[in-house]
Amino acid sequence: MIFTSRTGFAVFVALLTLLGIAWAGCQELLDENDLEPAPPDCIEVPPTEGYLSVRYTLNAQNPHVPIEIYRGDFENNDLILRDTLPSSHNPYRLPIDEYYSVVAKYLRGQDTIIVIDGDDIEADETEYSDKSCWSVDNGTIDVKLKF
Amino acid sequence: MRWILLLIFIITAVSDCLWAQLDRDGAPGYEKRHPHMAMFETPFFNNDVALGATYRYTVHPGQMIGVTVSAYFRPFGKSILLKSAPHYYFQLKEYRHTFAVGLEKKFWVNNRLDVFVGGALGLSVVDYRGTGEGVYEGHQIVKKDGLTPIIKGGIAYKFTPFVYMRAGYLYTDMKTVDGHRIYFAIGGQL
Repeated sequence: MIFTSRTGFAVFVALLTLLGIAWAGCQELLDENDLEPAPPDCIEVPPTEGYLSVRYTLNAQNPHVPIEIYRGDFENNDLILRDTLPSSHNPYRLPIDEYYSVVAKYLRGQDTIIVIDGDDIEADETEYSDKSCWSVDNGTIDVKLKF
Repeated sequence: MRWILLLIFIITAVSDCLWAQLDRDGAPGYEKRHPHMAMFETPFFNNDVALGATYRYTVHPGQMIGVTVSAYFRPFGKSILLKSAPHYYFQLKEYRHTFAVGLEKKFWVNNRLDVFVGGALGLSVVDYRGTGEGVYEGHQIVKKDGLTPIIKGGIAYKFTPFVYMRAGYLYTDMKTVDGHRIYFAIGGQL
C-alpha cells in the first residue's frame, strides 16, 4: 500500500482507528444486553457486616502480638478493639463499607517495631437479568514483620 | 483492547513506506516529521515494580533532543521501615507516585536501534496504608517525599518506525528503598 502524502496516511489510520473503536463499542453494547440470570445462592439484601483478616508473625521474641483496630486511619483515634494474636476472634466481624487500620507491636532485639496496615470492607452489587445480588469484599490486613 | 490490537496491526502492516521515509533523509528528518513519542514504562528491582508513562516532544530534531513529561505509580504497596528514634521503628506499606519533567537525547545507531539518555526532576509523593502522618506512642510518622532526580538510559529497538521497545537503567531517589532500577518500556512515535 503506497501513500503519496503524510496527510493521506494519517487520514487512513484515523478512519481505521474510528472503525475499530466503533466495532469495540458495539461489542460492549451487545455484552450489556446479554446478562445471565441470578445464581441460586444470590443474596438480595445488602450485607451489613464483613470480615477483616489479620496476618501476623509469631517468633521466639514475639509469641503474642498486641494489636489495635481503628476505624479509619489510626491517628483519628476511633479505636474499635484491642486484642492479642493469635486470637479466636481473627478474622474480625466488622461493619461494612468502612476503612480500617491495624497497628501491631513487635520487639526485635532492643528495638520496637510498630507495623501499620489498612484495608476496607466493601459491599459489591452485581446486576443479573432478573435481579441484583450482593457480595462482600472482605478486608485483608498484613502486619507481618518484614525486616 | 481489541481496537488497540487492530491499530497495532494496521500500523505494522503499513510500516514499509515509513522505513523508506526514514531512509530518505535520515533520523533527524524523521524526528522532525514525527516529534511525538509516548511510552508505557516499568522500572523494577527487588520485588518493587512501578508502572509509568512518558510523553516526549522533540524540540531539537538535529540533535534528537526532546522534552519529557513522566508519571510513575507503584501499584503494589512496598513494605518500608522508617526510623523514628534510636530503638523505635515504623513498618509501613508505601505507595509512591512520581511526576517529572526533563530532557532526553537520542543517539541514532541505525534505522532500528538508538541509544537514549535522559534526566528529569520529579516530585515524589507517598501514601501509607492505615495512616497519614500519625503519632503513635509519642513518635511521629514523617512522610518521605519531595523532589527527586530521575536519570535513565538504555537502548531502543524499533519494531516498526511507529512502535519500539526500550530497555535500560533508571535511577530515582526513592527515599525509603534503593533507587536503582531495571527499565523496560514500549512506546510509539507519531
